[in-house]
Amino acid sequence: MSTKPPNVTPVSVEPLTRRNTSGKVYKRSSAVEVQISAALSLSDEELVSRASIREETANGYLQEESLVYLIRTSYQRKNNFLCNKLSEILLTRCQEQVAFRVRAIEQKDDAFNDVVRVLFEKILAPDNSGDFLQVRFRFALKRISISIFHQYYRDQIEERENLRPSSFQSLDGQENEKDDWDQVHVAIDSDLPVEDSFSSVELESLKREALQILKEPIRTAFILHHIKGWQIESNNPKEITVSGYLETTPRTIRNWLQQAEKELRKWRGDHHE
Amino acid sequence: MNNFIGQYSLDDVLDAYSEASEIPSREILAEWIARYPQFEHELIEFTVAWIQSEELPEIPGDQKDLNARLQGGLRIVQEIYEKRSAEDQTQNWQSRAKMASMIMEGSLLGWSTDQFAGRINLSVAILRKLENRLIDAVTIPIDLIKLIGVSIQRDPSEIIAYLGQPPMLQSGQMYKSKQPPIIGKQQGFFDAIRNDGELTDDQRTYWLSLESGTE
Repeated sequence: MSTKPPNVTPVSVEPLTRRNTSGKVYKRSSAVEVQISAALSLSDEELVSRASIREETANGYLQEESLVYLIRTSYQRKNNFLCNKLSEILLTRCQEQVAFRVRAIEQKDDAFNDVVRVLFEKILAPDNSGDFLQVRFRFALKRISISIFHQYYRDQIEERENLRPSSFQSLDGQENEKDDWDQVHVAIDSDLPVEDSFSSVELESLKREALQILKEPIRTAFILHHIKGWQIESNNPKEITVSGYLETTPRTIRNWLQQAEKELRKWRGDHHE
Repeated sequence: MNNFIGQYSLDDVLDAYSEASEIPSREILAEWIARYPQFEHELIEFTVAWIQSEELPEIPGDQKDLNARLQGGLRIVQEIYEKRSAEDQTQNWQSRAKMASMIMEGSLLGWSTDQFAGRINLSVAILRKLENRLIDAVTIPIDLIKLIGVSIQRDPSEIIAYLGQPPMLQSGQMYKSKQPPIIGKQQGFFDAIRNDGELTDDQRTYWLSLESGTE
C-alpha cells in the first residue's frame, strides 16, 4: 500500500475518445475534470477518504464519473489497494439503484452480479467502450441494469411457462381460438372499450394488486395499456401498439385485458369477503 | 463498432436513448425509432423492459442482506481484475513478439524515417544500420537504447533483444543474383558515428562523448 503517488508532477486527465450519436466526442463535465485532477495529486488514503464522502454538496465530493476514471487509473498503475477501495465505494453507491431494477427477478442476486460484471468490464475495457460511464454514469448504469433485467425476466417467463401443466398451456391456444368468436362480437367490444372499464382512482389502487396476480403476457399487456397508455391497435402502421409489440391480434389483447379484469375482480372479491 | 459517420452501435444508441428521458415514454420511443429505424426492435424491447423494471412489483427471492450482496459484487470485480490482468499480459507478450522493425514501429506512430532519426538524434543512415542490425549491439550506448524505447513506446529490453539478433538485409532491396547476397559485416557504433557523412557536428560530438562510458 503506497502512501504517496510515486510521481507527484501534475498528471493531465486522459481525454475521452468515443463519439456520441451526434458524432461528437464524449466530454466529461468540467466538475468531473476538476475532481479528477485534484484527486490525482492525493495520497491513496486521502483519495479513499474523499471518495467515501456521500453528501453530494460536501466539499471534496467525488462523482461516480470521477470514480470510474480513478478506478481505471489505479488499475493501470497496478495499485490494488486503491483499485479495490474505490471499486467498493462505487459498488456501494450503485447498490440501491441496481437492486431497484432487479427487484422483480427471482434470481436477483445473480442479476445484481451480472450488472456488476458488465459495469466493471466496461470500466476496465482497454478500448473506449466505457467512456459514457465517465460522462453520465447514472444513465449508463440504468441502461446496463435494464438490459440485464430484460435477460433475466425473459428467462423467468420461459421457465415458468415450461413449468406450467399442459392443461394451462392449452389456455393460450383457446385464447387464440376465441379470435374468431370475437370477430362476431366486435360490435359489443367497441361499445365497451377496455380502457373505460376502470376509473382512474380504482385503476391506481388496483394496479399493484393486479400486477401481483396476473401472468405474462397478460401482465405486460395490462401495464402497457392501462398504465403507460399504449393503444391496443392503430390505423397508423408507425404507431407503437400493444398488439404490435406482443405480436398478436388486437382481439387477443382485448381478451387478455378482459381476462385480467375478471381475475382482478375475483381476487378483490375474495379479499373483501 | 463505433463512430463511422452516421453509423452507431446499438450500445451507443441505447446509452443516448436512456439519457433522453427520465421515464420511458412512447413519444420519445417513436422519435428514436424514426431516427434509428435499424434498431426499432431493440428500442421497443428496451423500452418495455424499462417499463417492466419500474412497474413490476418486488417478488421474494434469494435476496441476501446488503453486505452479503456487496461482498458478492466485490468478488465479481476481483475476478474481472484478474481476467483483465491476464489479458493484458497476453497482449503485451504478443505485441513484443510482433516487433519486426523499429522503423515500422515509428511509422505506426506517424513518423517518417527522417523524423524518427531526428527524434533519436541520429542520421537516417545510422538508423537504417541499427534497423538492419549492422551495428554490433554491445557497442550501442544504453542512453540510445532507452531513447529508442521511449520513442517507440517499447521497453528497453525489447530494443536490446531486437538489436541483438543477427544482421539482416535492408528491407525492400531486390537481388538479381542466384547466389545468396552477402550481408555486410557489423561495425561498432562509434565507428559508424565517426564515418557517417550525414550527422551534424553537434550530433557526432554528443555521441562520441559517450564512447568512454561503454568501454
